[in-house]
Amino acid sequence: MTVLTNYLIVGSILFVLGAIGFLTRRNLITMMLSAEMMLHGVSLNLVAFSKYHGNMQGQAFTAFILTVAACEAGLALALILTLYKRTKSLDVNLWSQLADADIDSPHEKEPAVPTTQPAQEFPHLTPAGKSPPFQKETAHRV
Amino acid sequence: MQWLTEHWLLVLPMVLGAVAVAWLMPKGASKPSWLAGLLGLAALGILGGTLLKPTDGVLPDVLFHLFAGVAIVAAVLMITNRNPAYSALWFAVVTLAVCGLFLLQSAPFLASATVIVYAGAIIVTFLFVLMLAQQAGATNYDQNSRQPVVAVGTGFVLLGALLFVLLPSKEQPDLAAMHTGFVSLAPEALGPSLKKPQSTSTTTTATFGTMRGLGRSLFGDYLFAVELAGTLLLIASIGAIVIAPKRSSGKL
Repeated sequence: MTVLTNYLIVGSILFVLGAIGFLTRRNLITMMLSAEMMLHGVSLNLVAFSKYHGNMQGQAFTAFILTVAACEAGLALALILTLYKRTKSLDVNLWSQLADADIDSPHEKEPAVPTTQPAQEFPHLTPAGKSPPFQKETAHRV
Repeated sequence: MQWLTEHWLLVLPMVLGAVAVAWLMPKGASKPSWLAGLLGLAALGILGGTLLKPTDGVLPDVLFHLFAGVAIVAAVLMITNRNPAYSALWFAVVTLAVCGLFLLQSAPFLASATVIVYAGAIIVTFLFVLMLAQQAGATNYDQNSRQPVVAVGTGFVLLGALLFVLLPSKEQPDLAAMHTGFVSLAPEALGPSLKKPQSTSTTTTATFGTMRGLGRSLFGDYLFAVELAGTLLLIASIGAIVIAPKRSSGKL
């Protein structure tokens, strides 16, 4: 019997490296590859446990993981192509406007675009029963 | 402090590895990477020398160390490379090394299937999309990763916790002892309906690891799940066709 712990250690290292890649990289495709690497770590764990227990359940589950990974890759590529068509870029930071407005931006030093607009002056009606005060005629904005 | 002196063989490779990966992360100007490479290899060496236990044979041992080392080094290079095309190629190396580990664990069908699906289909499609989308060479967002120090610190804390659980210490029983205790405890813990999974295929040691055993298990015990997986593939392919951007008519 081989030592189970060796394989668990390698699987956990692969999983954590994939998680780091998913968190840090900004390219959509590299993020997807990192997610696939996390799946590799999990598959290694399952296969090692299958050998350890001496039955085929872990290997059967790994076959299902393979199926789901194939589905996920196809859907992810379709999504990435759609997003690329919108922005002409694979940067994931361009899609962070989907977050709530009051949450701080995860970007580090990208200056916010000033959105202050000049206060708009609306014409106001005088209350009923009063004579309107004399005003100088101002040019109305169209 | 006493905890640190007891477990420095676990803490030291974690710190070295975290520093190496954080140093290698693309951020700002390119840095000399040989120092980080040395640090990472030192961390890997300490980890491999202390945590890994020798198995029964010399050849499986050597092959395991070879495949595991290649997998981890290629994984680090994949997540730190500035060129996503090279990242995809390093991911292919990771896949091949993991398939070698699958072979060592007597899963030849899974090894070949993983090579075919990942290296043959997924990597090629990813590279295809990459070349379609990125023709302008190096881009800004590949040169600057997002919060590398924080993410690497978090990841290596998680890894340290995982390895600490995996290590057999003095007060903790070994994993094998835990396993036998679990098996003796399991039938009472489970309900009467879940007591024993009705297995149509009794996998013995003769059929373990062969394609016959895996086929028996997949199409005997998990037949319904196999049908569901096929349906999932169909739905995913239809969904991908729907989601993918359509070209306007008349264009190639």
